[in-house]
Amino acid sequence: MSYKTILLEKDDKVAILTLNRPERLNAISGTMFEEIKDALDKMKDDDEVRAIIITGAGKAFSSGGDFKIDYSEAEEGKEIDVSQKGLVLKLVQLNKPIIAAVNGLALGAGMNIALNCDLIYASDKAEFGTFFIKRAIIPEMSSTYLLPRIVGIHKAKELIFLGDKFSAQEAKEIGLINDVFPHDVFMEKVKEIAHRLANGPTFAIGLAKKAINSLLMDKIKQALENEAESLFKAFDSEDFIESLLSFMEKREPKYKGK
Amino acid sequence: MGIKEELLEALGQWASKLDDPSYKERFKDFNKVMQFNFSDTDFSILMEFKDETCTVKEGSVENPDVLIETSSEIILGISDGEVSPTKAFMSGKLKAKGDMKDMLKIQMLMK
Repeated sequence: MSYKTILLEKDDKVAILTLNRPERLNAISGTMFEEIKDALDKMKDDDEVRAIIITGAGKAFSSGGDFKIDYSEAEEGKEIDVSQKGLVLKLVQLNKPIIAAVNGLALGAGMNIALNCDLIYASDKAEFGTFFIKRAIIPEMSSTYLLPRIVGIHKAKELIFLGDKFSAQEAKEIGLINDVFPHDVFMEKVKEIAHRLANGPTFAIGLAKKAINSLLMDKIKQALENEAESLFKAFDSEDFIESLLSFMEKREPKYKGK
Repeated sequence: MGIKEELLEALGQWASKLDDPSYKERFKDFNKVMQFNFSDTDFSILMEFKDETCTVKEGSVENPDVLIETSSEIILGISDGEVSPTKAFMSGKLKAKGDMKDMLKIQMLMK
């Protein structure tokens, strides 16, 4: 598969997957979701790859899911993976350490890709946000389970209900990410950690990842099911349509709560 | 009741939402024609939006603003609340051609 929306390169034993639609702040289209999954499969099977970095091209990590959808091209009979279960399972089940290198804005699905990685490092210029509520929908990618577990129930609800952006520093303070590095040395620092992992006992690291994640798997799968069911309800709601219309018409939305 | 009458009634219910002032306001200056082609019937149905009202009738036009291609079962299912319009769109069971904004406005009536 040749990629249109991502870059996949190797730096010794470290694979670097770069979300590469900088003109759209690396918004994740259906094609990009498919390409990320394909790249993860390749890295899983490549014995030379022993650690993985996921990052974004340009200023952003990812601004989230791409709402430019062409319904006329939907394929009949194709499975609808609205909560991105396929991608989540690949990220959590791949027995190699995956680092999210959040170089800039990480909103919605962008933040949730990072959340499903094993380690998260951010540039001091990065910002995070669940954002989904700004489109009158709910978060996916098992983040309704992971986020409360990581930052606590009340903080998670605040982040999800209000959807506001927050800084990399705040993300570190609430335990969402591992560390923040100055932007000019950010990738250098992340690569340093990735190479340390890749040159370490990656078999044991893989076993540790599996041991930790296997205890979470049932909950993750349940969260993905719940999210898919709720997302369809939200997509059919008047508030969701109003959020898209108001965005297109460049005005404030008038929500009805239904 | 035949399938044609059932479909006209279902789409008529969507159109009747424009009686509600909060919907009417959103359809101000929305003068568009939406055509439904059904895979299992030999007729099409038009929804004509004009002056904040909507007329539903059998027929077809050359260039509708929004063209929906689906089956009668899907439209009746959406109307009964048993089928999710989004799921029908995403699974290719309901195909729509036209301006996204127009389609979204019409989707608002499907609830």
